[in-house]
Amino acid sequence: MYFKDLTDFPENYGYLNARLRAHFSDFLGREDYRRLAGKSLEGIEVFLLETRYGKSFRKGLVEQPLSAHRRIEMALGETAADSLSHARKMAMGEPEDLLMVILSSADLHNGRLLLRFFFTGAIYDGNPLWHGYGTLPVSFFRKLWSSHSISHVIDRCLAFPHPLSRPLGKACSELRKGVALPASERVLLTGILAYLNVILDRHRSKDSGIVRDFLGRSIDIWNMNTWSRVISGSISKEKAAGLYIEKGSYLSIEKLNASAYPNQLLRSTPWEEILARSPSRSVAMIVSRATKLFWLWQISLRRRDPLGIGVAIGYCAHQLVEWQNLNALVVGIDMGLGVDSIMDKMIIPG
Amino acid sequence: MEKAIIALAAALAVGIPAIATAYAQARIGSVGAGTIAEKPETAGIIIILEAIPETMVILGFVVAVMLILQFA
Repeated sequence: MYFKDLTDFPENYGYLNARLRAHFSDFLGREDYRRLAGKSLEGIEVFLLETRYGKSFRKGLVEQPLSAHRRIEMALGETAADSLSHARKMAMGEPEDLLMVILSSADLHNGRLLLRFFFTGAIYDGNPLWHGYGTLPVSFFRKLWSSHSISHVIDRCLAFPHPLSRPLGKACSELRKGVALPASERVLLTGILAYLNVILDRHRSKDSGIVRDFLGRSIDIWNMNTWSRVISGSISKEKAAGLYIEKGSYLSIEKLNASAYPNQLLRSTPWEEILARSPSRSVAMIVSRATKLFWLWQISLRRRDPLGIGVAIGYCAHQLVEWQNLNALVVGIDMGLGVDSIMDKMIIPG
Repeated sequence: MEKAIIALAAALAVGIPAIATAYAQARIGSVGAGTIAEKPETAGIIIILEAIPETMVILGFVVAVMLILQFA
């Protein structure tokens, strides 16, 4: 028991969390966002130069002749990836495995970008903004993106020496068979989840329980998305049955099949809060509100246990939310939206 | 027999606080290392915090010495 504790590096939570907590004060607050929303793109650039985004931003200024919008976008993505990868490097033992599970959302995001690219058959010269904080390297996704055909992608995924690349290969081969995009994405997601569960099964602590809840809530959001498409009439109930994923935290497949209204589905679960915040209770808004609630839940974990994984989850979520918020800010300013409209699009932790 | 019991009591008086101190210092030490890495100006406070649990084992040692001097 004690030797197992030693190999799990329980003390690393203290070290990791102390280092991460020191950076919480770097995140922007409501007033910062409000001040920035009233500025021009040039004003945002000047602001970024003086913050932790400055290093990546200067690199963008020197290296590539890009538009201000694209330059800012790249600086935000690069800084977020750097800080999350740095957090990951500080973790050892159990915290390292748990952080790997949390940050695998980058691999999922990158995989979905590729699937969508090959599904639509779009011609796009440049690379998309890859999320660079996952387990699979960005160079791997760049190579896949530049592949001539989906067969090349499948071969490369199966040959890559990491188990996380195989689900992407499988999802691509489903796509090649003519399977619809959501079903291929489901293959990718279930493959990644199967691997992550193997990693989680190495640990039986309360912290691994929190990360299991994290994965369960992610599955709930996927299922809610499918359910909302059934209710809005985009897909049939039979088709949806093949898209639902088991082991969600609070929404069982039986409940999803039996519910016809949001309050029927979400009642007596932590997702119930969506109904309180959305008086119209429209189906269309459910997924975006659930996603917002999910981010806020992750950020709230930072205060639950100072020597647990909650601080790292909160830090990662805060970083990713700030990235999203600044992107929304830049797009809003570019479109000429007012301060209040831009602020409405943001997720700001209370 | 009596001597053996006194020796055992003295050993427990030192041993139990020593384990508790080690546990506390391990936690404080790892957190302190992380804090100093980010904010070196906190080094003085962290050293004081790291030393506070040490008082437990010192008190245990004093009790053990008193036991031995009093009864042995």
